[in-house]
Amino acid sequence: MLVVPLLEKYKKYLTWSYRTLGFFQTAGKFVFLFLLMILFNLYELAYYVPGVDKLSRSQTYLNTYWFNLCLMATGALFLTLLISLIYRLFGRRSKFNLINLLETSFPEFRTRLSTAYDNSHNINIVTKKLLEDVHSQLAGIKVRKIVPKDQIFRSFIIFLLVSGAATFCIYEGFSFNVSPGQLLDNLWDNVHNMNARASYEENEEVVPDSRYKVEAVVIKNGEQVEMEINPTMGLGFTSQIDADTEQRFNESSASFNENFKHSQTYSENLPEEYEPLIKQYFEELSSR
Amino acid sequence: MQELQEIQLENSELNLKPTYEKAPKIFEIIFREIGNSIVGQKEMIRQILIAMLCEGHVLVESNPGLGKTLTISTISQIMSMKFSRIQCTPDLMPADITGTDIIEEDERGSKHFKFKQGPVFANIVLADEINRASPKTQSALLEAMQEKQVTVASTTYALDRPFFILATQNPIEMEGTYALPEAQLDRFLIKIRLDYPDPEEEFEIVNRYAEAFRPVVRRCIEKQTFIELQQITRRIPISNKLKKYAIDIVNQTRKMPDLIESGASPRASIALILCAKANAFLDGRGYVDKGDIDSMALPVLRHRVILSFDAARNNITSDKIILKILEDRKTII
Repeated sequence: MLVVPLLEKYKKYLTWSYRTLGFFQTAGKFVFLFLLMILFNLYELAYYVPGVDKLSRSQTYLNTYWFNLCLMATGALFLTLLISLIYRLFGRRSKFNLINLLETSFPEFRTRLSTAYDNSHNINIVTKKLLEDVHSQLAGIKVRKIVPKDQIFRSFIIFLLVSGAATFCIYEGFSFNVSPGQLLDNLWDNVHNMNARASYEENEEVVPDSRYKVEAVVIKNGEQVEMEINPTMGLGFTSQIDADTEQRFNESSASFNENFKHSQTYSENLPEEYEPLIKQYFEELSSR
Repeated sequence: MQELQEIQLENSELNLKPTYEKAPKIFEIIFREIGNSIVGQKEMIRQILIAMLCEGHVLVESNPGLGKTLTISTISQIMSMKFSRIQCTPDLMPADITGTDIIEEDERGSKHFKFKQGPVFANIVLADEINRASPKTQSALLEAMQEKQVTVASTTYALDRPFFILATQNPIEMEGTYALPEAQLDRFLIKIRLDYPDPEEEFEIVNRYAEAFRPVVRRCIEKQTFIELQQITRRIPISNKLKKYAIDIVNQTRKMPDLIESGASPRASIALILCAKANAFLDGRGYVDKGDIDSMALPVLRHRVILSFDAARNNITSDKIILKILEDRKTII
């Protein structure tokens, strides 16, 4: 038998190198996920799982910090396995094919090697010559050339760096001031505020102001209230005062528009619960 | 290298060894000798040799005067094979091709039937303008082409090996012709389309054939040697990946209902792989490459796909479709 035993020998050799590469890649993924969990205090998520809180309090082997680290390590391991599984099931990664690899790495074997391998049991005058040629060529190659040394080295370095960062965070207790609990609280507050605003806007009809392009007329109980400041009052000046507006400040009091209500009066007439809203409105207006 | 000695060949294989070792030289001589007689038309010569190596038959579509008869008679001279020509006409009868029983009187005056062989009893047969023969006569060629035997009056006669038919048809004159049925088209291993030679080649043709002395062709190989070359051709190995590639190309012709009414049959897959083997062998390679399959896809498939009405109406040819299929499958290997 020619070619096949050599291929099997090379396969054994290369399988180990690809396993090493796979190990470093998976380990790198695991440590990276673990680091992310440490930085963002993701152990809190584990406490949403029923029984974990109780277990944390009842166990006496580890203090809370190390117990939380174990929880995060378990989570990272689970996620790594899940990612690997998904990648294997749905990814386009083909199985390790030594013949393809050799034909790609050594162009002199292109098609000849696969043909020789597929016809290694079909011996005739033509295949004999092909098998002999391919076998002698195959015996002369340096299979070390196709070991993915660069990839193994890169994966190892990444693994070392991320492991170093994770170790630093563990021993220094470093993590960002962000946690899933905080995020959930913030999220809850935002949702609450949005709901409150939505219910307010349902009751209030807003008419945009033509001058400052902002909502300046509020209709309250069917009555239209102009939320504009009388310029002569010297109140509510905005950064958008232009030459025309400035000129109007120098006009006589005869040009005073009686339809405008003084903000002071207007705020006095409004119920107390609207005060923050009006205050917010003017603050927004002055910041433009 | 100790393992190399383990391979022991059977005697039948060992008998082919001298021919296999000499094959590149033999092909070189064949091409050189044909080149002495024929100017240009290298692709046609190559494809005829491929078909002969595969024990197949060739359909040539070309205008008259392009050297088909000269090529095929030259090949027969080089290989010391018997050559015959059939000029097909509508009144040609099957017996005119296969032969018939005739009454013969011996010295004693007694009469008996004797089979008189027709022109099909040759190694190389040129069936000129095959589409002018009636369907009945065309079908008489079927048995000869496929089974390499003829049956006359319930008696079957085996044809001499190698047996090769080169049929021609004129693409422009369709009046008074009988288009070859699909079943018969499928029996031709390849279809060659011949075009006019370029001006330089035509200049050389004029020089060569308008002189007093015509080129002389030497006999280069024995018939038995050519039979051995045919046997070696089938032994050329091909990888499983390339077999799948060839089958995939043929399969694609069945998946284009808009353009192709009827795709190529599994016989086309066999033909494609065989021709690829012969192509590799002619190149002196002991294995089939992807390029062999690609280069043989057109001649093998072009007559095996029947275009839809829409495709024909839009001037889409079978060649264009096959080239598109090849283009689409480019990245598979």
